[in-house]
Amino acid sequence: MHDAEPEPEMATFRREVIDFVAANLPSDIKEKVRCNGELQKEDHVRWQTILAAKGWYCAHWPQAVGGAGWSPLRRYVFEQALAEAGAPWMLPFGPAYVGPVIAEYGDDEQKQRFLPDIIASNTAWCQGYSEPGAGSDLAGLKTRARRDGTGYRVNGQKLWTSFAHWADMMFCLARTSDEDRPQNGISFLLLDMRQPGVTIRPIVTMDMRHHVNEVFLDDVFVPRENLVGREGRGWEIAKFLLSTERLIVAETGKARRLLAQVRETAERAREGGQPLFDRPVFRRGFVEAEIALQTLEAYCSRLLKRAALGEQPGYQASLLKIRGSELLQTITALGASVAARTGLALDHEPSAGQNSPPDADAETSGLLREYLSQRAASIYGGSNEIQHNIVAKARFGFQ
Amino acid sequence: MTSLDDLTALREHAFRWVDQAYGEAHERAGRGLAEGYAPGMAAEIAGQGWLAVMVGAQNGGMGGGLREMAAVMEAVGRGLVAEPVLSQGAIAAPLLDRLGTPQARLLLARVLDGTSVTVMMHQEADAGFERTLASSRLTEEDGRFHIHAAKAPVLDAAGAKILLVTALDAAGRTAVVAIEADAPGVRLVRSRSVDGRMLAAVHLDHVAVPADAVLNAGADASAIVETVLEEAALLVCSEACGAIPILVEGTADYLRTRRQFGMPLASFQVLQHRMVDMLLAAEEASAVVEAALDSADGPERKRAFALAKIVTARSARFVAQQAVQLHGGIGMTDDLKVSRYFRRLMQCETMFGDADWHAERFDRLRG
Ligand SMILES: Cc1cc2nc3c(=O)[nH]c(=O)nc-3n(C[C@H](O)[C@H](O)[C@H](O)COP(=O)(O)OP(=O)(O)OC[C@H]3O[C@@H](n4cnc5c(N)ncnc54)[C@H](O)[C@@H]3O)c2cc1C
Repeated sequence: MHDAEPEPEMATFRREVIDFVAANLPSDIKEKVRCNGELQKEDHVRWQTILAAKGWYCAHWPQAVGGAGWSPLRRYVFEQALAEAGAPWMLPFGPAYVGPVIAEYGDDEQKQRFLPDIIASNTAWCQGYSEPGAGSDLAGLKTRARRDGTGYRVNGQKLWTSFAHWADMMFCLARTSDEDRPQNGISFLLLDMRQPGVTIRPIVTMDMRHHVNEVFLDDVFVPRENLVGREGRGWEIAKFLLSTERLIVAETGKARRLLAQVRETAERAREGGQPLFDRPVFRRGFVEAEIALQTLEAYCSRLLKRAALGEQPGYQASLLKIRGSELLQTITALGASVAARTGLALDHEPSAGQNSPPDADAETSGLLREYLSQRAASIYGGSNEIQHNIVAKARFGFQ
Repeated sequence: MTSLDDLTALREHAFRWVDQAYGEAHERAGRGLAEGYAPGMAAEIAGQGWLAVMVGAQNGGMGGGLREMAAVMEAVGRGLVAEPVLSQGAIAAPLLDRLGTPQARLLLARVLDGTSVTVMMHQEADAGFERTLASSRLTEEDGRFHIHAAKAPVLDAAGAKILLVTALDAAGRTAVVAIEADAPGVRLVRSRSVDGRMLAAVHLDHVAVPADAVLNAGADASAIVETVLEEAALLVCSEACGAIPILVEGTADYLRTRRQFGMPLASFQVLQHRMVDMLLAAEEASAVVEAALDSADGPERKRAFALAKIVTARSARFVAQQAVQLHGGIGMTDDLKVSRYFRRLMQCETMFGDADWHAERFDRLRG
């Protein structure tokens, strides 16, 4: 348990993070984030390395495994400030997902073998949970890991695996035995992606980008020492992973940045001789989004303050997920509405070197593209319907 | 005006054509092309008369009206037809037909036979959804004309041969000027629209135009232009009304077949109710569009058209968003039609003004 950190200190820390980003984020990366351009793996690694040098990458990990033992509140303030300042989205698979799992459930050898390489950005990870038949109902997964000599042979298909094409390793759930309940008999495995039998097929989403993949596993070998925790206890580990994420699911920092960007683009865009931002209907929509943002921030703060006093959130995390996704969808819809004034252009013909940045068109198109990709925010990581089910059951006992 | 039987036959024929002859490969064929559509297919569509529906018989057209074109646009939405139908059959052709000058009729003939994609460029670059002309100018000096205008991006303009550019003359009348897209001084700025079709904005910096390119021949074309824009806004609603039921039925089918937690998704009550809300949105959109068509010749025309756009835009957004949501991850993929209907409906929703813009208009137009 952490002591509650006084608010003035958090405000100072937030400022420090924003200033750090301003001073240290490479300008090409900054520009890509601003226009929602296509970040490459190398861009992410470059930025992660800068954060690591400052001691701010994986700082929420326990000190014993190379972190700084940050409280959930400090982590929240940090991540929101980073996003607000225009830093790239932090790929969560290593630092936020598998890292904490290995720190909690891994043996010493696993901690040694995997964690330093995550902090140093030497290994990129992906998350292999979902399958064609196992989406909302994750326990329906069919990928099998059968014992074979010194390890397992894994067969099956993973779907929607984000950034599998960049990954060296995948943490995945696979069935090691058939039990009475589908949640039992699932194991948490660390799988080397760079080996025969792993086939990655790209999937293009409606923003016309390649983030997600199908991953086919054909007799892929996972050594016994890459099993995390006990065999058949994967479900419990997956639930632990979710709990570490609880309080940061709402991306309020990103929402702040996008809202500011909507405002800037709407101030530049004109309608009937005046800035679009000054049109009452548009402004009203903007104000509503601002109200929703500040409400969500207040709710996050309230939960984080209580968490600092040892009151762990339960169903509230689902409420944050619902509102967080809705908020990003609302804000980016305003961005799409700005883009609609000029025909909903998603890609621009490269101009003949005339448009030096900042390119207003590129920024507006970036928001439009973000509107498309944010439709997934209410689908992944437990859809909003599933979150409603969770709360109805946890809070009211409805079945 | 055609009879009801003719109208039904036209609609059925158009639906059958998109269902049987116009497949996914056609729909996506234009994506890699500079025009944003397949020129061969565009010619084929012209050949089946879709662009001549609203044109008077004396000008080689079918002599139909809004209802007939609405039926065609429904088919376009249903099949996600990427070729220029709205911009030709619902805008350029009726505009040229109504201008009626000899030069306009010449250009019209080439629209109808599919040899010359012709796109009206009216909206000014800084106008947003507003339709009034402010900075587009046509000047005349010793019988020599010059045009000066910056127009907002318009669908299909990237592949156009002729641009029909509106501008104010010295007397404040609206002129319609035909400009060859590749003429000197014409600067097209191309972009790809969210639905894969191509847009172009045009910048005309005091470009010289021959006298016969001024199609209104001294008359004020503002009423004609306004009528064309109003009707185009309604016809894009018909396009949406063709697309929306595909999403409603497709989503219902998906919920029946996709299983999670050991049962079909269709057994979850929240999804059943969502489907009903989608259906309601679809029914309302069809109802207001039909009402607008019924009121097209009456005193309530403008408000009925605005209402149609408001309700259809909202329905399009709701149905499209929920269709993606209820499909889950697969709904996000470019390969599944659902996301392509989603993106096309974004165009239908906002082209010629979104729901908010038309709601303000709806209020202003109160008698
Ligand atoms: C962009 C993106 C990135 C992703 N990245 C990853 C990744 O890196 N790794 C990974 O493992 N997975 C990833 N996913 C997968 C994601 O977690 C799943 O899409 C999600 O769990 C939903 O599963 P599904 O797509 O199969 O939808 P389904 O479960 O089939 O759901 C379809 C619809 O039915 C609803 N529904 C389902 N069950 C119920 C119920 N009981 N009651 C009411 N409604 C219900 C859902 O809410 C949804 O609207 C990603 C998905 C996307 C879109």
